[in-house]
Amino acid sequence: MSDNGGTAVPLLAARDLAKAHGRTRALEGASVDLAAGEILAVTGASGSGKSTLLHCLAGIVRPDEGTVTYGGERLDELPEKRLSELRRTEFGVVFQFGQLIPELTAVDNVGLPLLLAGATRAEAQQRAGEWLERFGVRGQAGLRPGAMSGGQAQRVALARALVTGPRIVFADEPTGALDSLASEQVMTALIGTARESGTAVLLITHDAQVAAYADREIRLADGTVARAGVTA
Amino acid sequence: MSSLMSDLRLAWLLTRGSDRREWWRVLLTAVGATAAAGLGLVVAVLLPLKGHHRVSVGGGLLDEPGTRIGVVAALLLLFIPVLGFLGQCARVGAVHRDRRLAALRLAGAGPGQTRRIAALESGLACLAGSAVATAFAVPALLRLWHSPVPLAWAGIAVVTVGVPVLGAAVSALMLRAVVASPLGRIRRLRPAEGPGRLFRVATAVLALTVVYILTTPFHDVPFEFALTPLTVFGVCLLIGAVAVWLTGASARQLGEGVAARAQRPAVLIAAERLREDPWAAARTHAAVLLVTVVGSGFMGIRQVLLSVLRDRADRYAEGIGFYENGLNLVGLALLFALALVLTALAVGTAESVATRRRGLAAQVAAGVPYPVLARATLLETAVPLAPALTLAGLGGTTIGVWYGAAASEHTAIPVPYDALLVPLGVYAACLLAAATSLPLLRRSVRPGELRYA
Repeated sequence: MSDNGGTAVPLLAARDLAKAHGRTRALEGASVDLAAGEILAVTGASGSGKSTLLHCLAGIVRPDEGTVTYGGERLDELPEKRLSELRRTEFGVVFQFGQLIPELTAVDNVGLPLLLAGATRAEAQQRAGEWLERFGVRGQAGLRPGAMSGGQAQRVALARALVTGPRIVFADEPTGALDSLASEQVMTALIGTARESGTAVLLITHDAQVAAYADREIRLADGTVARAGVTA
Repeated sequence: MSSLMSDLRLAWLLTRGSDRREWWRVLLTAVGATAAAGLGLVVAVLLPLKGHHRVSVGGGLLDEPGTRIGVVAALLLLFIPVLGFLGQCARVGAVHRDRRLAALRLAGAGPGQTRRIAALESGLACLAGSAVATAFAVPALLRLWHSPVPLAWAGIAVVTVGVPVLGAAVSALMLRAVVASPLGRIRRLRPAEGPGRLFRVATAVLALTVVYILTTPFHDVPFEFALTPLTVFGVCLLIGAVAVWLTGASARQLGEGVAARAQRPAVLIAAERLREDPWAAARTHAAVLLVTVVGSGFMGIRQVLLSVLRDRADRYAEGIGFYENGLNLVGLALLFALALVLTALAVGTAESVATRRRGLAAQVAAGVPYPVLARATLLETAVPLAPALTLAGLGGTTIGVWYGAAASEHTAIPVPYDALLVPLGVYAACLLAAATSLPLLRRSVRPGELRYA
């Protein structure tokens, strides 16, 4: 089964993806479309292939079979350098935890993608500060991740993912380690910013409440799309 | 006793069930133990020897009691880098080991018990290394010495059993700051204010002794006393300790200074790591600094001694080759020590990468290029080491100059500029040692690492 999303020209299109980890088949012929500005939730049980699908779509891993097309480029064929550049400029990636550098302060973590793109430290820190303000964690600018709460660290991670103005944000269980209040704060910040800036979001979650923030939901089972539909 | 036996049994089960990464730790620990046991066995065989003997190995240095005791002292000094190496081995595979410690805690083991089991694992690996060294040493001894005295056999037995005990003790020392919780969280207790009281007291005592010796005029005490190897060794230790202390004390300021001005991501990451844990560099590089002080000091002293020997060559009927051999052997021992501390540094850097591998994989997945992380890893070694090695090298060279100044009352001595090359060489070697962790870094940032929490 596949998901065509009902869009004429999708921003990101994956066709018949297959990926195995050793002997385990994580994806088996999954197809997904993501439109510009769309918020798509991918749900499914543990081991259904959700994270592997995100890794393939974000160019973090190459599928064994199938294609991933973004802006006319075949991600599954691009060299690692170009993929890295895409993830730095066009995509934002948020995980459950671990994406912040523990030794850098919040403001430097958020400014890192800008530094990598050639901005000066002062420019990077200024823009990072603005994004921290937007996500309500300006007060934590000088703190390192270890000194922040889980919700604060995750909002800093969102700011880092969005600071370069990406067209797509890939979020893998972004609230998986948070309590319900912190989850709500993080999701409100993510969805609000995405709607405002027209950024598409591919959201991996097993939480129905989190999936409800999306425009559309697809459910994975045994590595393929088992159900697709508009969320309530 | 029964609890020790059950811990030992558990350690054996865990060792047997080790995966490939763990086997690397076991192998490296066994190699370190083989080196330690090898040194110990030679000392154990040499110590009971009394009077003059013709020994077919050692270039004549083992024939006379005077030179023999010098060789024994040099071998005992080599234990320092060997123990440092064993300590670093205990940290290899820390992530995997930490998971096991957490699982043991979940199964009901206390925090101390988990550390004891981990230390006993190292002890078992050391037992294997010690057994290998003994298996080679005993036939070699019997070929050189047809009927060794009972004291020599007793020494061999003590070394064979003592090395595993020592290995377990070193491992326990290295793991003393690790506290595993049943939930899989591992805390590392860090000393807030740098070195412990023992280090500070030992450094102060050493400093007072050295100041006393240095301020005592040479014409008031015998020349030989002022320049005894023990005095030189004390000065080396003192400069090494001061270099370690200065490395830690200055690292925070260095990290802050570099971080504030950093415009490149790799420099920023390395500087912030330095600021976050300023004493980590001092701990990791302590043995390197000590070897640099001793190495540059030795280069100076060697130059002084060779000048004196050549100046008085006509007084030695047997020629100066015997003394040159002795100096070359000391040089070889120092190279061996350097190789060991560099291996320990490489192991330490690799362990640091392995510990952070999930975070590093997440960085790369989020778009941080691998070369930036690779440069940051190298800079973490390069930045704190540069001022520390400069100090250690200058300190060692000062020892050579001081020794030369003292000896110049008897003969004209050139300034030992060669000694200044030692810190440069050590610096390059350290960067190479750190670079050996880069292949592991490349493997660690594979997306597959993201699959494991």
